[in-house]
Amino acid sequence: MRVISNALCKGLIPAVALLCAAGAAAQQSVDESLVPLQGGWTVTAAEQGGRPFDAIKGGVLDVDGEAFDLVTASGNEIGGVLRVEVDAQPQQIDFLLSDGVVWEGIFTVRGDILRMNYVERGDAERPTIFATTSDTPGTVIVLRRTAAAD
Amino acid sequence: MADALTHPQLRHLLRRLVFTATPEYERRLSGLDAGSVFDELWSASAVASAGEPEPILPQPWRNTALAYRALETEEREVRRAAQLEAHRRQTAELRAAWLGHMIASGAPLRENLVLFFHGFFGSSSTAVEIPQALEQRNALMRSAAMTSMPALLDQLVLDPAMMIQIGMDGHGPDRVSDRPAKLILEHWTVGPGGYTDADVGELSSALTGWSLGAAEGAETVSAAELDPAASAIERRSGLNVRFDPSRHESGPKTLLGVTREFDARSALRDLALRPATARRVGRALLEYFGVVDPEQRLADRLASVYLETQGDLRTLLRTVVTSSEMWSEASRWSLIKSPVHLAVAACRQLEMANPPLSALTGWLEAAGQALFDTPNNGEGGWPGHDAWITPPDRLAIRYQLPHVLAGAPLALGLAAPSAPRAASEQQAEPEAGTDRDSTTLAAETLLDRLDPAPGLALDTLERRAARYGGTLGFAGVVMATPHYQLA
Repeated sequence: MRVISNALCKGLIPAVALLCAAGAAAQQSVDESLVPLQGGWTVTAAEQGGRPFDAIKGGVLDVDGEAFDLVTASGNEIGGVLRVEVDAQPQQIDFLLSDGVVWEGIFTVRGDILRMNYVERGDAERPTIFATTSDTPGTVIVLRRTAAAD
Repeated sequence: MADALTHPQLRHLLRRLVFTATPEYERRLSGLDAGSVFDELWSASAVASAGEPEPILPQPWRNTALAYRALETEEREVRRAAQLEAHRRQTAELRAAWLGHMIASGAPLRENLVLFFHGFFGSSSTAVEIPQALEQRNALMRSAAMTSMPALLDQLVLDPAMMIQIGMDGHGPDRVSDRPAKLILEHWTVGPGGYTDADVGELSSALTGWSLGAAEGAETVSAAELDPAASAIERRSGLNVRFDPSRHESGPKTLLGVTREFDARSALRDLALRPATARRVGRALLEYFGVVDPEQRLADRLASVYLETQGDLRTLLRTVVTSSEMWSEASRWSLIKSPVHLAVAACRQLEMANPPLSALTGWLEAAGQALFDTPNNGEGGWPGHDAWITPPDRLAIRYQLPHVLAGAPLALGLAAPSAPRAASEQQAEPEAGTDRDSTTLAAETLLDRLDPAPGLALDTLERRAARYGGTLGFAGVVMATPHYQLA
């Protein structure tokens, strides 16, 4: 996993944080592996337990650098940072939520379509395919790009 | 098994192949060997029109609850509620009609195979919801059950009910899930352990491009007219299978090590002929027809026959019927009848002219075998065997079958069993050459007709039956024994 450097900045003394921010600004670039994820995405479809999971349609995900911000269809806001492993097959993604929860998943980006399947760490093993059945865990979601990265 | 079958052997075969023995079958097939009996039964089913029974539901299905943007929410909800009620009622009619056909059909082997495939592939009336699609799929299975596995799979993958059930409608580059591929590999073909995650992705790609739309000539509805947030069924314009090349992921796909330009049908035909599929289908047939094969020798032979004949179902089933395993002591009376087999056998044995189909379909559901609904939302079939009597209340429900049948007119015309005899009479065995009284003969005849596993004492049954009286009273007592649960 490529650890997201911005995560380290959080909670540090302001001076160090400033240095971090300055460093990030100087790089002016996002980790290459995260580039395909940058920008805004909207959940267009989902599946859980082998059935459509329409309740989460309409949720919006914003990815900026390593940070993500998710506004669910019901209006809850969830933030945190991303980690990805693009050399894995399929590519792996972790959402490190600010409350300590971790979602472990796999993902693929094809054009403007981002597809993921994820579980909460501790509940089940990381999914290995983009499918759920009545007796397999995970939530498959499809997101369509709604805004390009700044 | 080339010798003429004995009477008990013929009954054993009829129980397994066509739900039960009946006097007519016993007369017709007496003196034949196992292979010839099978040939007769197969021919009778093969010549029966695949179009029978006639569809009972109005075709084609029309969506009366499309989620037009222009409609008020309240109006949409009213239409949807009415549609749900109509679908529920029609599905109930369809269940009753299918059960009635199993009972009365002149092609019982075919109906038994349709039931087998129903369980093999799985079914969910909840996922599919549209009763016309379920009826159409049964018609497909009736015609394909007498052909081969590749032919059946080739058609099934583009059957509207199956497309809806596994999630293949609209499966394209923007698909939500690879679930259709997962289910086909796991439940329809090679089975658990026979494929990799990569195969799921490759097959999923091969399956792309197909969707369901309005029938030819029917009024088309543009997607823009419909609420994008509505459920799939509220946006479904019809059950007409269509292919859109622009939504098919062309190019080579590697499926279980073979790389070709697979599409849905070619992929299914290829998977149908894999050794793992051959083994899985063979094992499923042995389980369904209750053949004990401890050394797996018959399973191995079936797998070879499957591959040699390209999954020819007649040859496979004939191999089962003529095997020594079919006739071993271990295979006799070893099968716990499924609720459907129990009900169909009872109605056939009693020659019920007008069985209470609606009540029976309700009983089937309580007993764990609702037609068109296998467990887990249609992912795979009924577990069978001990699961039919586990938990124990399932057995209690099975014993209620006579009560469900009660009240239906019988065509059998047998006399009611006698009142209990005196203790001295009950214990006395008739002397050789002495005629027994006619009521005892009637009970004997009925017991013979019901064909329970050996071990039931006639006079004990008669004592119990005296409480109820009548032919059905005696039959009910027999049906509520462990012996009657076996085939």
